[in-house]
Amino acid sequence: MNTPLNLKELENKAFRSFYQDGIWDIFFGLMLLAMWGFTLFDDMENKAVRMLVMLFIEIGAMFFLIYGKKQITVPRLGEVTFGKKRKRRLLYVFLANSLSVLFIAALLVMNIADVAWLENDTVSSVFLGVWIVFITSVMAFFLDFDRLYIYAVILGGAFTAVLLTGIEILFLVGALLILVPGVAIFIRFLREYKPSLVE
Amino acid sequence: MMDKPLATPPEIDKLIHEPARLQIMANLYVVEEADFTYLMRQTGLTWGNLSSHLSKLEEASYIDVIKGYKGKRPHTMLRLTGKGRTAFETYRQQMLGMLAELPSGE
Repeated sequence: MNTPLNLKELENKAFRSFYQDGIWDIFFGLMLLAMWGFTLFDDMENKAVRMLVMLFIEIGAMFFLIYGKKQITVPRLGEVTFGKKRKRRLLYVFLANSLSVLFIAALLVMNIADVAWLENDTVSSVFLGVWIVFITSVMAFFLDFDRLYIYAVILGGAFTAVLLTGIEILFLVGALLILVPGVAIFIRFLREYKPSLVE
Repeated sequence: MMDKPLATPPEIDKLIHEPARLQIMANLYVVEEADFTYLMRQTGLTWGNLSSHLSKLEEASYIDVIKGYKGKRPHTMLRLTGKGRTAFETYRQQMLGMLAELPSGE
């Protein structure tokens, strides 16, 4: 059917067009890179400092996401307020993200408190990976962001693999698997779309 | 036996029926509001073309043009009015009805 009459398809296409900037991809890559940064300071006595280093990179990723969308994407693709359904879906993403942050914070606290099952248990490693895949897939679903399903597997897989094998560079490998295509998409976007000079 | 004759087509809103304006109306229908750049990207229309079609839609009170500022730069947002939304819904129903009535060609 002609696109102007297929409104659902039209709205989906418009919403998804905002993912061609690669900014979400870079954000998730940086989040995983933050975990690798965390492991770089493994020998540090004070675990709180390691946490701060990781949080610093994660806040940087968050800043890139917000600033990038506002200052890079919007001037090129325009400004739009989507309907109530999209807003509700974005609220679910926010809730999933908040839940995820709380969960990770709880794990870090348990890590600081040297909770035994968290350090050694294979089941806890797999559980963490599955949780990450699940929560990220929930976000992918509500964001209508197909690439995020792949990133969910990379993120969850990296966590489980590092916890099971102790090979921390796997965080870096996972991060690069997301960052490299993300940066390529970002560069293509910058080349393809120039900032609009229209008011 | 003769096939059932096609019903007389309803009066189509010619303002919306024009392809470029139909694109604009449809794109504004699925969002709350959008700016000029967004509409240019989504419809593929040039600034001049878009501007001219928007003027016609504004004259018919189908869209609201909200002029404001983004920082120090002027910034215009566009949204369908209640009248425009109803007109688009009516047009869409009429077109879908007409398309459904067309013979399949088999």
